[in-house]
Amino acid sequence: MFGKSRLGGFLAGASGLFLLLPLVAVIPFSFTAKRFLSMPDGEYSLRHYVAIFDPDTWLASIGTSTLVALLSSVIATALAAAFGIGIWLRRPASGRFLIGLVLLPIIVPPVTSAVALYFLLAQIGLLDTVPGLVLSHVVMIVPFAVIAILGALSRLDRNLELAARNLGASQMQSIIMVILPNIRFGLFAAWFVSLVMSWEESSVTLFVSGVNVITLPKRIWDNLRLDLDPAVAAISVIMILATTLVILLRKSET
Amino acid sequence: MSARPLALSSRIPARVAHAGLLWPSLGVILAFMVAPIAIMLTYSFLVPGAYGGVEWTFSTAAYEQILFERDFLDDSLTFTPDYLIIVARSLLQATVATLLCLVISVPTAYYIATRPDRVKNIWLFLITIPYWVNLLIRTIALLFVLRDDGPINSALIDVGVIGQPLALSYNGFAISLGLIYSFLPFMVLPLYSAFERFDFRLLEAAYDLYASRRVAFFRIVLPVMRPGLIAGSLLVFIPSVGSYLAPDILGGGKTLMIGNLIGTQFQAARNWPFGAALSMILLTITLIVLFWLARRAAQQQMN
Amino acid sequence: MQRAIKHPDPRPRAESNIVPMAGSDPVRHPNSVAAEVRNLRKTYNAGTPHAHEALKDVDLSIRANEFFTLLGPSGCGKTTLLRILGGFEMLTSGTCRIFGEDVSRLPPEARPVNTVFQQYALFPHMTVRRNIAFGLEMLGKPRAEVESTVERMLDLVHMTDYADRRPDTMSGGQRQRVALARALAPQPKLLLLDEPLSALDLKLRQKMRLELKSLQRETGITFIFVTHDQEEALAMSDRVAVISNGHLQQVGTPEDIYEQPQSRFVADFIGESNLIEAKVAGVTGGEASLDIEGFGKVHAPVAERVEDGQKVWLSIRPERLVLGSGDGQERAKVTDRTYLGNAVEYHLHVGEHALTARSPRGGLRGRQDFAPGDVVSVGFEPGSIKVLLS
Repeated sequence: MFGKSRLGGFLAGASGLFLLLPLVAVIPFSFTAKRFLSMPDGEYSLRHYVAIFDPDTWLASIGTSTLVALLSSVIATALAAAFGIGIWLRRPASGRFLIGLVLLPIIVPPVTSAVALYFLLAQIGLLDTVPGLVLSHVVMIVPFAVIAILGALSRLDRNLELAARNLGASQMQSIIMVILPNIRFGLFAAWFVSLVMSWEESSVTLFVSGVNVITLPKRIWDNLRLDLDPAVAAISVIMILATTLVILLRKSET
Repeated sequence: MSARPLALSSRIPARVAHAGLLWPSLGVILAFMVAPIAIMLTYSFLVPGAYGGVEWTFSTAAYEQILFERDFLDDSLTFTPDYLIIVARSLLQATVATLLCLVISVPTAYYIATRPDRVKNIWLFLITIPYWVNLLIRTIALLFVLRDDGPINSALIDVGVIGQPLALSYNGFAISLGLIYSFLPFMVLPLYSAFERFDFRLLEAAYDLYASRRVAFFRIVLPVMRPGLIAGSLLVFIPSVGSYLAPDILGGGKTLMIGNLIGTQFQAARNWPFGAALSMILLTITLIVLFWLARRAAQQQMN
Repeated sequence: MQRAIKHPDPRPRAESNIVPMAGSDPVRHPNSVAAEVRNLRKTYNAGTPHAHEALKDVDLSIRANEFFTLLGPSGCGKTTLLRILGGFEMLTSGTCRIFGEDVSRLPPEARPVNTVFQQYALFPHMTVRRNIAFGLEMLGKPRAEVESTVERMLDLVHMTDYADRRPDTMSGGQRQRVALARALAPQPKLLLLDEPLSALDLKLRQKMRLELKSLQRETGITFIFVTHDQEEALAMSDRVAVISNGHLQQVGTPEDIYEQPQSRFVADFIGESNLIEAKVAGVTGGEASLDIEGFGKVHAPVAERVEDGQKVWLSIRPERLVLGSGDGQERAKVTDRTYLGNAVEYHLHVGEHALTARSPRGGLRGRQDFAPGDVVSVGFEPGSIKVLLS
């Protein structure tokens, strides 16, 4: 179709390179011996990696981000599972509308969501608190969890549920003993996607936290703007490696 | 339905149980997405407080401010295009980014989808790594590439093509590149899955009916893939038009987009109503584009 | 009823302005050759460890106006052959001609050939009318002609009422008709049909067989039909080519193929056959004496040279076995009797051999009915034994 797909091959290669080059290009910056962000001048150092282990700054932020990501991903997965199963069981006439409503946070531009959540959290006094941040993240990541779970449910045989009910299980029993075990991979996928989405959420996070609660993206942001700390490069390298490792592990599992 | 006699055995009526499953999520969305947007809409018609926040006085000043400048002395309004230019620039940047992503992604996704499974998985892996890496870190990473001492400039200087580093960062070009870089996977992946589902016998049928490659591509491939193309375009356009990170980091804060303008209202400028009004405008633009594209997709299904 | 038709020029053009070519109308040249392949080979992944020879040295000639069927089990190469004729696959070596013109290197859009695809491949975003018009538009026909041809095609396949529907709202049979109309609209010299009936249920399939056959007669277009269903092949075709494992096994009329199989594969694949190993025990004239172990001697004509003691295979159709009793020749034991409605099938053991006999309703034509455990005599109708060397 595209001239024996030579153009396709070239563009695929170019896109791949374009997408990956920056991720690799960060690496040398992280080994600079200087105090400011620059290419190493023949002198390499691990000092910026050591700096990450400062319990008052980087380590604290990693802890905050992890806590927020764990809490919000578990909540989002539970909400999404209940919602998905509800839609699957009842197949309401308004199903498309309800799904559309739950997917709203994907449609609304992130910066608009950020402003809207800022106003709400300011109103209820949760601005710049961990609960406020967790709530914001749950709203932002629930759509992704719902998509993963609806996908898993669409592959589930409806007769399974009917069989369970036919054998005397209550609605609750059939959900817990039949439906949930059969979408466990979907549940895991939903949780994983939520975790990653929450971990990397920056647009809303930068708005609704920052003084008392400092997540990792927020600290990176501040460091980049204020003093160009090469620790940003070091933490980037670590996060890129961690992400790659997790994807590889997941790939080898499936 | 046949489930009716069975439902009698459970203590909670099925209707109530199902509603109980749906409501937590709907409640979260209503309370933390719909309600905040309503608050935002309300705030956009108020006046800013002296130290941030709002004062409860109805005013359309926030919206007027986008088009006019109010004179301090006589309160008269004069038209100023400054903010309008920022809105237009955001639309332009997002449109260019979306179109370029489309042009790059169609052949790329086609190529990947037509590889053997093993090769395909490697390609998908390469495309998905950036998809998973934090957007902020990716944007910073791109900055490292474009910097004066980054690999592109170093390589070009080493080879002797240029003497001075090219100004690749902190300009409009860098923002465009940043948007494409940020959201390209959002275009490639839906197009890839559209090509995966594409029935290539349709192409054979077109050739069989005397279509040239070009005609077959425009009259068969693109129309059949339209839902994928529209999904990809939305996934790139929506985050692009309100993008905050790319203009700030790669544009060096000099070339503003609407996202940055909104951000400023909550930092230095401390003008909540204006920020709310700008957000409403951004949301409206997004919804217009969304419904326009969705209708085009639906029309496709009708005719 | 035959209709004079025109055909697009098979030569490639830069744009879609292929014009009808005069003087090669198959209707006026009933004895011309529609398609011809010589020494055709197709190897997939040639030169790699995964190399697969799909077609091995195939020679085949298809006459104009013929309903010609390529028959064989799945994976035998029949679809590959069809795709080579259509231009969807490039042949590895050999030649492929359509109405005398070498099309071996031509792409599909430059061939005067149209195809009905297996799952129809109807364009999902176009109505029935737009689907049928597509080929005509690509040929750059004037609008009026496109419209009138589309109407004619809709009428031909009885789909006028569905003209503005989309393919995904229609049943399998309706889609099938649209696919036919779409492929016939540009008035191809050759219509290729790739298992077009396989997606339909039995009743509809039988109905479409008749429709296809009459459509072929009506249009006078040469049909090349691919199927793995031998019943379909026998019912519809003027001639059948049986393909197995990339080799052309036998080409002939349905009667030829069924009555005169030339190999064990054909005998077994077309209908049912008792295949019995035997030894040649002398040849006189064109007739051989054949020794079946545990049964005795039988006689059958042989076409090829055979030598005494040579091992051969005998093929006998189940309906041509005659069972009897009371003649003192009872050597076969009935092991099973199956009632089939229009016939009764007996499974027999004769020495080491297992045979199947089928009798049109037990007891009819003076034949007796038997039960499992009966010992019966087995006879062969005259001319029913085919001697197969391979």
